[in-house]
Amino acid sequence: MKLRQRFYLVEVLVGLGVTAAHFFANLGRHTARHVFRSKTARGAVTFQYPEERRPYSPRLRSLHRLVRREDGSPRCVACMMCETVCPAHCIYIVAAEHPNPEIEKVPERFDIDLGKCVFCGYCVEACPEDAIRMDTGILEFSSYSRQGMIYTKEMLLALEPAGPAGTPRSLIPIPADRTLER
Amino acid sequence: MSAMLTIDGRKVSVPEGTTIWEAARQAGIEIPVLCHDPRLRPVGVCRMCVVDVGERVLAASCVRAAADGMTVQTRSEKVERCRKTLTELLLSDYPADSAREKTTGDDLLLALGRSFGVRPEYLTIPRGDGRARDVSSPVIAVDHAACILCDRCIRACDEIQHNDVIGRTGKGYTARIAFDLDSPMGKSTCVACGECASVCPTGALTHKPLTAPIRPRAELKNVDSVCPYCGVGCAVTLHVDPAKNAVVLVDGRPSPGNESRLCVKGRYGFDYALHPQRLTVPLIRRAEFYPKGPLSGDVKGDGRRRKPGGLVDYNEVLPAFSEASWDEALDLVAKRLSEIKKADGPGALAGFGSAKCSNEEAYVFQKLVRAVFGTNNVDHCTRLCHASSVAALLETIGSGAVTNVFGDVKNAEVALIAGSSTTDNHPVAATFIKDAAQHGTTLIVVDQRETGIARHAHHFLRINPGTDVALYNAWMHVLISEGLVNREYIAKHTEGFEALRETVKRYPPERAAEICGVPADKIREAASVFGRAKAAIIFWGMGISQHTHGTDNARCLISLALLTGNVGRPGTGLHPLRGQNNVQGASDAGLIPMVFPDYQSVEDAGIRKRFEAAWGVRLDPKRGLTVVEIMTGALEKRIRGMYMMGENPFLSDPNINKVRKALAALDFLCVQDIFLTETAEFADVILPATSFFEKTGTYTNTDRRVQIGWKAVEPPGQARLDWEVVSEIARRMGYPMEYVTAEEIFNEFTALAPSYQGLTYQNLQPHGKLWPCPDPERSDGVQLLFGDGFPTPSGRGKFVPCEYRPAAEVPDSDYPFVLNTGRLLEHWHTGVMTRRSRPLSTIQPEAFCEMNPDDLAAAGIPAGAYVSVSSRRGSITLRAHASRRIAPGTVFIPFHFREAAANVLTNDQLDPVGKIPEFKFCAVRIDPATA
Repeated sequence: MKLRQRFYLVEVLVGLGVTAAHFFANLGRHTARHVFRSKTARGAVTFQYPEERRPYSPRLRSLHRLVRREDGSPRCVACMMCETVCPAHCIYIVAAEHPNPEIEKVPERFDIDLGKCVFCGYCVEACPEDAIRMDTGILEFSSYSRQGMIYTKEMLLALEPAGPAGTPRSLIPIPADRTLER
Repeated sequence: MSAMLTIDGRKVSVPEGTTIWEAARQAGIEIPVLCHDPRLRPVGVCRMCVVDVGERVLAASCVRAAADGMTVQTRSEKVERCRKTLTELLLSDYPADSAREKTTGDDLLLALGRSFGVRPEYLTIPRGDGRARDVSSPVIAVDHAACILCDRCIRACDEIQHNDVIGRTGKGYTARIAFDLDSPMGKSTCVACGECASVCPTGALTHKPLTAPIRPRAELKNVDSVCPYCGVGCAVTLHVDPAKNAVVLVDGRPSPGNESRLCVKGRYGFDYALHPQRLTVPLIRRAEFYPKGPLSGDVKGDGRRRKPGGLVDYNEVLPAFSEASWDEALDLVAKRLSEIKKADGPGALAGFGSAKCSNEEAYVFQKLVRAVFGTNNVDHCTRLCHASSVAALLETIGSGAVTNVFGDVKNAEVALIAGSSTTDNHPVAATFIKDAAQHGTTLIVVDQRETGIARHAHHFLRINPGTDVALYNAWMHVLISEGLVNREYIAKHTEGFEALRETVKRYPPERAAEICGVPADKIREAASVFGRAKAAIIFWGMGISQHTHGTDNARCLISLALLTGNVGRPGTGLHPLRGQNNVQGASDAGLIPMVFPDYQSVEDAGIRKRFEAAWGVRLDPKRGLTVVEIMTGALEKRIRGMYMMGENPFLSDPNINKVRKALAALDFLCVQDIFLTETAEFADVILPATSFFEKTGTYTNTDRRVQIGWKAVEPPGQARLDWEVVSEIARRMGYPMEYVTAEEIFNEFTALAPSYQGLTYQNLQPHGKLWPCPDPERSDGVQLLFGDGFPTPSGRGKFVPCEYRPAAEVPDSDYPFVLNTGRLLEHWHTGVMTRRSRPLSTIQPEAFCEMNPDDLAAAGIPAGAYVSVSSRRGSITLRAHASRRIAPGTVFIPFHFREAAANVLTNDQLDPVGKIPEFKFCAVRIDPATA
């Protein structure tokens, strides 16, 4: 470290200067916009996340969901393509017979381990039935344990596609280990 | 409700819920399958069984239920095209040499390929770069490249054998079956039962050849037989290569007893019969090797540590014997036995039969001892296994056999398993118990070790060794005080309830908790679970019987069943799990010193008269001596001559150092066996006998099921049938015994044994019959005994109250540990057969003792080191394994291993009633082994 850096006070003042410069610049822009009705000045605004979200690109890969048929059963036919293509080995499927004889199979279990998932989107690419999508707009999933990162078929089926501008329309699933009554 | 459907134009009516595949099979239409097997839960993964039911997609017939009015086409062009494509896809990555096609020749996938005209070499589909092989198991070869992921093996392991070893792992091309957490098969917890290899449709899991190359099934001769090992008596099909005169493969046979299931011994333990050490000529001891004594170092017991995997060293033993002709040997036996009889009286002779031999041989043998020797000194290893249980059963309910078959555990609400490591000792019976435990039966296991079956238990009570009486008295205390007894049953069918109540009053659970080391609440809980059950069945094993209070232990269990009325209804009963394949039959045939065939007392003048009339000689009216008493008698020179057919008391009897002296003290000993056993080293004459596979005979299993084992191969050299040898000796001793076939002997036996009445070789086929069988032509025999009263003089079951007594030799400061002996899954008793079986001795090659790791640490012994275990009677050196399944303060040693024979240590104190020695309890000391 240079001698100047070793005296923190100097660096603290420099940093304060930067902050102050931004603050006053923004204050000026906001004043221009709101008091002087300027059309061009745009001051920085803090997004009130999570109540308010940035608009997301439609190409964003967010939490997976399983697409439902009209009767609510999964569109997935347990062909194992996504499981096979997944580079993180995070999908686990157990196939079963579909109750409707017109459809061959349905997953009995469909687990995604989000602790392993790398959000590459290969599963969506591989799916021949358009049964898995990554368009929920949900990016927040956390848990106290690795077990809590495993999202089951029921959780994934309950999700809705995001609204315009990528706003999630379904509640963020809360894993069992994060519920309050523990 | 039934469903009417049309399959290929044929009208079929089946109950609702039947699958199309099953319906087609009933109509005689075979639909090809790869993943389905009628014994397994259908999963529909292979799609080979698809049929056209007129819907958008083809339906998998193995999972699709037949519906009323359905029209099914199993062979339409669309279906065939689908199946062909499927076969092509599966074959595209199939190895060129399927291990199944090379051995048994019944590779289902290749057969399908042939039927569709698919040749793997012409497929245009690109091949993968191959997957691994796993040959780590000594009996099963795994070729992942041939695996089609049909899950048959996984379901067989989970649902038939309940070992839960095989699973799936990997994704995509690397998806494969895995053992445990993807270990090599030989290193996993796999118990090598071979169920997976027998259900596998391809070359992925195959049996390794053990004796001779396995040839296609069609070229092998099929012989219906039973397993030669434990009392479960599994029905098997022996596949024999006639050119090689060898059994090359064993399959389970569908029979009510085992439903095609087998364990490692039954499926892979057959190669002992071809061992080069088989005896093939009669042997007579050379004059210079008198006075008699042990010949090999192991049997001398000079204290040196033996190398593991020890068999009798023939180079050490054989020079003491010279080869002889049969006439010479038999004449000598007859002459010496007659001399002893003349000089010292018939009481100086004794015979040990064997529970490994058939009913016919047992019958002929006891007839030789009783009618020709003129004494009742005839016994066999039942004395060392369930003598106390039989004594207790005869005393209380008037019959020594089981009251219900083990398979009925599925109807029980609660099953109590007391002192039995069922997964080791009766592995196939254990699969049915595990089955039941998964389907609603509450399993209570009481043991001092955390045995394999305890893993499946809902309530596991680890009691202190030898405290069973206190525990069950406390159970009965709880049952009576909580009103969980069946008053109606007690009033109608039992006697002696008041005395029992007075006794168990003194055993509140708190007192039992102190004695047994099980918390009082747990005792209460288990007792009330048992008491509330509508149907409860009780299984017990050697942990109950092999104590100086073994009879008391069994009496308590019987009282428990009588108290709750759990006898004679489906799902109830008393089932002492019998050890040997024919211990039930050998006892039935009269290899017991107190009784003639079918438990008819030798002391009853009327019965004796009947047998005297049948056999044409006067018979001894006194009961004879039991196994350990005979050995003591030999030591005291009261017994001078002995004939042993297939027994090896040197390793199986308690206190070997005493047995050694006793055997050496005999004036004359004739040993008839298939190998030179440790006992044979003391013999004057050794006669070569036939092994199980070389003879025809009937065997009675623990369920009382009498089954026929047919001759499969020719005996080696001059070896002769056991009953032939016995009748030759009888003839030479002046008693004509002329039998031509085993069947003739069986008919003579059944005429004298009321329980076997009506059974013939004809009606015993194919699955045998349970005795008693009043209507052998139509019924399978009586499964449930004593639904209405007991064969006791009063017709009532008797409560015999018992007080808790500690074991004969309790630990003290010199000998602080409790020794418990027992068996391993892979080995059989004295190891004469199993240690000569290559696969079995590869899996379990050497002697060891199991101890709690805390005890080992306290003694400063690292796990895996050699220790010396000593009791007041002797000392052995063997490896110490650490296991938390063993309670602190106890040591477990399997008794199969001659180089470290557990019975050097055991106590030969006897139960006063059952005359069974205390194998399960003696005080020992552990020291680090010195060099």
